[in-house]
Amino acid sequence: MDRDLVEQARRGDRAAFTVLVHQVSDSLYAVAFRILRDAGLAEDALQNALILAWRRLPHLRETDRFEAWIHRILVNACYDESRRARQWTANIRLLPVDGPTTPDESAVIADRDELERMFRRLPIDQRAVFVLHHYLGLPLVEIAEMLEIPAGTVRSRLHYATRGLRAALVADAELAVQGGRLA
Amino acid sequence: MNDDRSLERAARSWLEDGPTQAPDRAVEAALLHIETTSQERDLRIPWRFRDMPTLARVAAAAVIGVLVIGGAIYAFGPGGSSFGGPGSAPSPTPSPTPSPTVGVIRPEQLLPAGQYGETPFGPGGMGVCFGQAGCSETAADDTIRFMFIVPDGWIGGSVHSIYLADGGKAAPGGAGLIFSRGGGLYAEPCGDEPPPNIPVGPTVDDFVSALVDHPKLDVTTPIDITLAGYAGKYVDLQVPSDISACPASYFPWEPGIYAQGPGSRWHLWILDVDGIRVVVQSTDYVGTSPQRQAELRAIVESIQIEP
Repeated sequence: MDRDLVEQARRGDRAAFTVLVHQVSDSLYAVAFRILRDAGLAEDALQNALILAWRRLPHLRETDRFEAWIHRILVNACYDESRRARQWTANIRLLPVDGPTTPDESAVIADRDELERMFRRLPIDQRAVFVLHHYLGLPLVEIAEMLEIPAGTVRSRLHYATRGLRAALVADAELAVQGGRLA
Repeated sequence: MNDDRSLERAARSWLEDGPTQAPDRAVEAALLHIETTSQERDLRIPWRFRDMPTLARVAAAAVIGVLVIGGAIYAFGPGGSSFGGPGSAPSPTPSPTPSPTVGVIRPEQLLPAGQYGETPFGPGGMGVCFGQAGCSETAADDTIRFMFIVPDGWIGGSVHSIYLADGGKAAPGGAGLIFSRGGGLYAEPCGDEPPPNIPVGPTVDDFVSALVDHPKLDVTTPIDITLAGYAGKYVDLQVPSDISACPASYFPWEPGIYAQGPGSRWHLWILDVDGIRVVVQSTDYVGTSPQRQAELRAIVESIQIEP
């Protein structure tokens, strides 16, 4: 990230900020989608984050931390979108007409469907940490610095997220063995 | 996927799916908006004015007086309780006056003193139990709302919880409050992995009996109580003073929380809210200051519940 660009944008240079936006927006949107699991919500979160970043940029002291800083704004925007949405949407993914041809392919699709469904049931702050760690590959300490929360809190959220996903998948597998599946 | 590593591998692969490019319309819309949006000014405002005019000092004193008096009047909400709960120390008056609006808890943000309203059992909340045996999750719990008054010095936590700003949740002086539904227990709270292996029925008595009968949980004799107008039972659960040997965490039931530190004291008000079991859980330590313990008690006493 070009420090001079960030500095110029801090001082009100919209052209400089536009360049920064094009540099980070793909990453921001990818993260937002993976947290919110909804393209519309992710777009809203991205827009709100970019606007808020522009407004608050003068408060950014360390220009080197621009990317971490704007990702934190994005995560908070995701929290806001999640509160506004508060919809319990059934995520039923239709299999393609020609369907999987092998049991292995079927199992892969089922696992991904289950991950999707169970991930959506996690609290939004756990989802955020899970995505930042497993998608962006950020170490827990870096996530803590980015979100300005204690490292213990990050560990806790990741712990609960992983535990919740595993519990759900195990429970579902047991039900499948018994011949039933949750809707 | 029976272990964390295989789950994490699968999750990473799954997370790779999905868009990696921001839609142009979203980016362009934001840039268009920015064209007419001003940046915030980075003003540094001093905490005090050195030479505050006399009139301003008098006005400030009057405002502070109103806040203190308002806070004293608003100390406890309605909803009658035969409370139970730890200790009998008088509860302190929550500081500054609560806002006329009901605030929302934001994780990791300091909470201005005031009244807060939370619906902890909605989607993504503390009621979700992923279809485990004995799970009593129901859509009917999504709307249960807890309102309570919080004094200065508390922070929003995950899943609609709060904890101390200056002591956190951990030993030796932390404290916190969280709401859950109760659920299945673990035969070995220090080490068992999900799902819970002791199914528990959906009622208050089911959960309380399971806690009391558990050979490895240190639980007091239940007493009948009412909180916020709802009947239930109160117990204390003492977390062992040494949980260092627990492979991951000390985790008695699911969905629930894991012990935030050795020796944590869990104060549990297990209530029947129109047929739905809820658990109001405050946590502290022997080392938590008497003032903070009293504040925690006052917060619980102030709880109102809207089903």
